[in-house]
Parts: sequence; structure tokens; C-alpha cells
Amino acid sequence: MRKFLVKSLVYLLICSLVIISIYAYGALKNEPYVDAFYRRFTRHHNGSIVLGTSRAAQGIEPSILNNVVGEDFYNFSFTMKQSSFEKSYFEALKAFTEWTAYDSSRVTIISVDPWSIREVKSEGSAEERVNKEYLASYTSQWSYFRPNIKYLLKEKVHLSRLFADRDRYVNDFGRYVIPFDTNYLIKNYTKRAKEVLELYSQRPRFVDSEVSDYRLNYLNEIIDYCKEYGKVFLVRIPVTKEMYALENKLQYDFDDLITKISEEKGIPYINLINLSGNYQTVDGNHLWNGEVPRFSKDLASYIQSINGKR
Amino acid sequence: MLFNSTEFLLFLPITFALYWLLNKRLQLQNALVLVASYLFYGWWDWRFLSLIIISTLLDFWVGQKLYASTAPKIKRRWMWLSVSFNLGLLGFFKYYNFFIDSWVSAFSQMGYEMDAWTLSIVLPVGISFYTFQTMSYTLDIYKNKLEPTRDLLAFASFVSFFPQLVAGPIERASNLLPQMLNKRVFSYKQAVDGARLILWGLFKKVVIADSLAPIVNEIFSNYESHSSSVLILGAVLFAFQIYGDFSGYSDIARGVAKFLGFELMVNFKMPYFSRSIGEFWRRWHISLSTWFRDYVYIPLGGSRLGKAKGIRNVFVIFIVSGFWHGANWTFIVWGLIHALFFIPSFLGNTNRNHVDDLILEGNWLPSFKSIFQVLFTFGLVNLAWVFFRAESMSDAVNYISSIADFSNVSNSEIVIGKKNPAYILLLLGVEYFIMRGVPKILVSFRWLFYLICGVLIFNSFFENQGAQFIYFQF
Repeated sequence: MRKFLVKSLVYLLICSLVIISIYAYGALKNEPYVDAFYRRFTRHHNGSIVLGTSRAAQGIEPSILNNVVGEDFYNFSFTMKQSSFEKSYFEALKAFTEWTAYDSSRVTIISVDPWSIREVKSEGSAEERVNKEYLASYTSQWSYFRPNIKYLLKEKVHLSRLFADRDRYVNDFGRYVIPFDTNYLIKNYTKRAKEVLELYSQRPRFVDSEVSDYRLNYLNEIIDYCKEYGKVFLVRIPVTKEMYALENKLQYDFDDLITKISEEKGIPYINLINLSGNYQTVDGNHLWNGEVPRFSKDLASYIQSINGKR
Repeated sequence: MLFNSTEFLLFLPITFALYWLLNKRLQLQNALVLVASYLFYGWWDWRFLSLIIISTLLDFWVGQKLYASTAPKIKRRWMWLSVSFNLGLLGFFKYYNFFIDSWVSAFSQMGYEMDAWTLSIVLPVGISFYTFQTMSYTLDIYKNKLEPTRDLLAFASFVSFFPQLVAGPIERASNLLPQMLNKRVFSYKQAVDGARLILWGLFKKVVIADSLAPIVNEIFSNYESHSSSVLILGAVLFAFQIYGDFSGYSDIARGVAKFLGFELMVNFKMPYFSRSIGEFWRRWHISLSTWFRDYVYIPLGGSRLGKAKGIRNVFVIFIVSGFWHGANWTFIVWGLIHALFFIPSFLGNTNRNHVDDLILEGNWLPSFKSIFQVLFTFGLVNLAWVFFRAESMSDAVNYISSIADFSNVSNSEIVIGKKNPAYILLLLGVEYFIMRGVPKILVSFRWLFYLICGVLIFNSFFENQGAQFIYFQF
């Protein structure tokens, strides 16, 4: 019996070591390509930061902000599912950042939109949902390391995915890059934008939702936390005119609400939604990769001009 | 509880540890087997445990009564009580709605409209397996091949033995019950064999069957949009999917049983290397085909009553075997097709060829004749699999018609990748060496092979998210 148990345990141990080694090798070699989020869990950050949902994750390029604003930006935005303002996003932000004291050159950009402050009525109370929130597993300091085997195992990233050839990646500054070329746009844009608009108009967050005190509370908490360590800017990223109209239908007084928050907190609200239609999107909602540098540069100029006034 | 689930990953070592801690205390070990088996089954739906318990108590009691009766008429009555009860359970839970629907449909085709009175009946997992297993007990006592046991605990453990409870092998009382009644001793060799079977069974299920499942599902769900060659590929891949799934389960079941000191029967012996349909059925789902042979075919007279009755009996067992798999005409036709494929060799008295020998036996290269026979048999088996896999008869017929329609051009893309063909080749190679014996040079690399299997199982488990076994539905 002992011989059998020892051999079985040794086998399981060696298997585990080999699996961990393969995962570690794959994660180091293919780090940007693992998935849309992995890279953000491989480090801590001490500089400036971009927060928000997928619009910000794809649409704000930290390296361009760095060039103009001159700070060390990192994009810590996810998607509506993961990083609408909620407890676990706030806790994950605290675990990710290594801020220790106020630094006037540190900047936080918080991207806001009507979707990320609403909750679906049928999904139950915030208390019931809080443990199911995606980032609830990444609220500890120890959740951020490289290679992050814990993340790979928890998210069931299998080897075929880990070693797959992909064109989408998270760049060195945390932005999720989807390199669609102009041919793709010409071929697919109209259809895709129409589909996405229809999809959003059928989403529970459109048909069965209300403004969430819980999310607004965490938006305030995040602002307070970031303000403690640097300057904070609220930003509304432009979309297409059709998507803007849909968002107006969802919540016509959204800008008033955010303006009120910005005034209460004494922080600027850079509302660029009126520029909707001026930047090419890939699907009506997310800025096209080719347009991201121009938008990021414009955003950086707005920040610079406000910084200058101050 | 599924073998390829995280619950089972905890369940097995705990059961194993407790079981051998109770070493030399047979009654306690049997009690543990019973509790573990009921837990294993109840994990799926505890309410249906009552069916197993009632079946167990009735057959235990009938077994005593059968043995005590001397008058053949009385004995027969007891035997029929057991058979009627078990087939009644099976009939109600598995076939009730099928018979009602078929009845209504037959009358409506004759111009009579009837109201269907169907029920929403949940099919208890494994009901076809444990009812057949417990019936083998009373039937063997009836035929004076077995003495009944007075140990209810051992009998209940035999009926519900968790490794093979829900998808076989369907054990005979004459094989498994004596093992329940005798003291088990831990054997290093048996445990190592068990571990190897579990590893290989998981590989077949998780790596091969579950990787092929999405491709097969796509092809069979949208067969109208695929070309002939893709449809042929779909049928071939399904052949390997179902083999990996079902033989994988049987291997894991046998391996787990070995961990506890039990030997279960071999359920598969390289069926796709068969040179005739007769040989295929001696190698595929052996526990079921021998069950039907012993309890249906031979009592009906087998081949002893002349060719005409022999043919009738062949059709009976193949059709019943098809029907056993499910309440759908597709399964019945699947059985019927196999009967039609089998009849020529039955008439030509060649159905008993290759009873013991394997292709390549004593040779390194097969003859052209053998290769042709294997490919031809595999082709026939695949044709029948289309009926087995299709959702309905019309789907099966249309699928085969589409194969024959070579003008059909595919407008969809099927990605098989490089890994799936590699896995299938590995499967065939390893199975072959398992049957023939592994060459010494390869034995020295066995740990590397175990390691590769372990890594691939882990990876595929992530990739395929622990899919259910196909044979659970039967």
C-alpha cells in the first residue's frame, strides 16, 4: 500500500510541476496574448491610471498620454461585466496600485457612461451579487504576480489558448488592442454597428435596469481613493451618434448627474460625448484602433489644458 | 457524480482511504461501498435512489423464494415477478412516452385522431444498467446457476456498486457477488493496473471524446450545409467519440473497482480492428452483448433450432439491443441494420471466425485481406452509427442521402486541427499495444507516457469543461 501511495503521490507531484512549468513558460512567452485581462494581473502599478469599461480598455492609449501629459499611465479598465463601478473593482484597484502618498503629477482618468452606473433589477440586490462579481477573486495584493498561474487556473486558460496565435493583445501599457485594419472596417462596419446597437437595446441593462445607488456609491469611493493620491478626471468617451441617442434614451440626465458628482468632488468632467461621430468606431461603441492615437492625443490635450488652468 | 468532475476527485481518495482503513472487516467495507454508492448516485438525484433500493429488496427476496421453490411453475412465477418489476420500471421511466407517441402516431396515420397522454418523466441515470444487473441475479438462480445470498448488505452493494452503477460494465451476479462476499486484500499490482486504467480511461474520455464532441455536434446539427466528405468525416469522428466516451467510462469503472480490490469484466476489446460484424459485437460493449446472448438469444433457442429460427433470434437480439439504448426509432433501426449486416456471415457460418485472434496476431504487418476486412467492417459500423447519433429517423436518412449527393458543396468551415487526428492515432496505437502487449523498449518510457497523458487530461478538462458521458442517457 505504501509503495502504491508514494508512487501515486510522486506521479501527481511531477505532473503538477510539469503543468505549472508549461503554464509558466506559456504565460511568460505569450503574456500579451493570453486574453483581454491577464496582463493586468501580472504587476502592480505606482503611476497614473485609466479606469473604466471596454470603451476605455480599447480606446485610451496610455503611451500617448505619457508623451503628452508626461506621466506613467497604465490602463486598468475591463468591460461592463467586470468593471462597472462596484465593490470588487474598487478593491482590485487598491490591490493593484502601490500608491502610498499624494503626488500632484499622478493622474487618474475615470471613464464614465450610463451603462456602468446602472444595475439590472432582476439580478437581485448588490449584497447578493457582490461575491459573484468577477474581480472579487482579485482583491488581494497576492493576486498580482508574474507569471500569474493562479489566474490561468482560475480562468481555466487551457494550453491551446495559452499558445494560440492571436492578433489581439494587451500592450505594455494595459490597453487591449484589436488591430482591425481598414479593409475590415470597410467590409464589416455598417453591419456590425447595426448589430451592436440592436444588441445593446436588448440588453437587460437597457430594458430592465435602474440607476444604482450601489454603483454610484462605489464611483464616489473610487474618486475619493484616487483623489487621495493624485488628480482625478472624469471622462465620457465619444461613440457614434446612434449609440449616443440610445444612451440618451437610457438615461437622458446622465451628464447632469456626473456634472453634479464632479462639482461635489471638485474634479473636472471632460465630457466628449458631443464629439460622437467625429472618431471612427469599430462597432458603434468602441473606438477603432486606428483612431485611438488621435483620440488619446486629444484627451491628453484636454487634460493638459485643465492642468494648465489649475 | 461524474468520473471527470472535481467532486469525484475528492470522493475517490476519501473512499479509498476509508475502505482500506476498514481492512479485514468485510461487513464494514461492504457498508462503506453501499454508502459511497448511494452518495455517488444521489449526487445526481437522491429521489431516484428509492428505485434502486426497491429493486434491490425485491430481487433479494425473490432470490430466496426462487431457491426455496421446487415446483417449476412456482419458480417461473417468482422469476417473472422479478423480470416484470425490473422491465416495468424500465418501461415506465424509459419507454412510456415513446409507446404513447408511437401509438398515437400509428392511429393518426390510419385516420384516427387520438389525444396523447404523455407524462414529463425524468429518465433516472443508469436505470438500464442496474435493472439488467439485478435481473441477472434472479435469472441465474432460476436457471440453477447461482445460489442466492443471505447477505442483504453484500447484495445491495452488488446492485449499486458505484464504479459501474450508471454506465456499466453490466456485471453478472455470478462474477461480482462472490467478490462482495469474500474478503478483499490490497494488491499492489491490482492497484497499479487500476491506476493505469483510470488514467487511460480519462484520456479517452476527456482528451479524445470531449475534443471531438463539438466538431461532431456541429456536423450532425447542420448536416444540410456540409459536403459529402465532411459528413463522412462527421460519422468517422463520431465513431471515435463514442468509443472514447464509452470505453473510457468502462476503463475508469474497472480501474476504480480494482482500487477497491474488485475485478470487473472487460467491456471493449479493440472493436474497430474487427474483420466482421460478428467480431465487432464480440469486442463492443461486451457486457451487454453477452447479457443478451445468455438471457435472450440462447433461451430463444439461439442457432440450435435451424436457420429460420436462428435468423429470427438474431433479429430479436439486435433489435432489442437497439431499443435498450433508447426510446427512439433511430436506435431500433441501428440494431436492425446491424442484424442485416450480421445475417450473411450467420448464413455462411463464418460468424464465429476470429473468436480469439486479433488482427496482426503473430505478424508485424497485416495482410491486404485483413486491412480490407477491417476497413469494410468499420465502414458498415459507421453507416449504422449515423442512425445512432441522429436526432430522428428523417435526420439520419437525410444525412446519408447528403453523403451520397456528391454535388453538395460545403459552405461552412470545419476545423479539425492537428491534435485530433494525432489523438486518434495515439488511441489506436496504445489500444493495440494494450491488447498485444507492450514491447520492452516502450515499457521503459511508460512514465513519460503517463506524464503526457496527465498533462493532456488536465488541459482538455479545462478546455472541454467536464462534459457528461454519452451512455448516461441510456
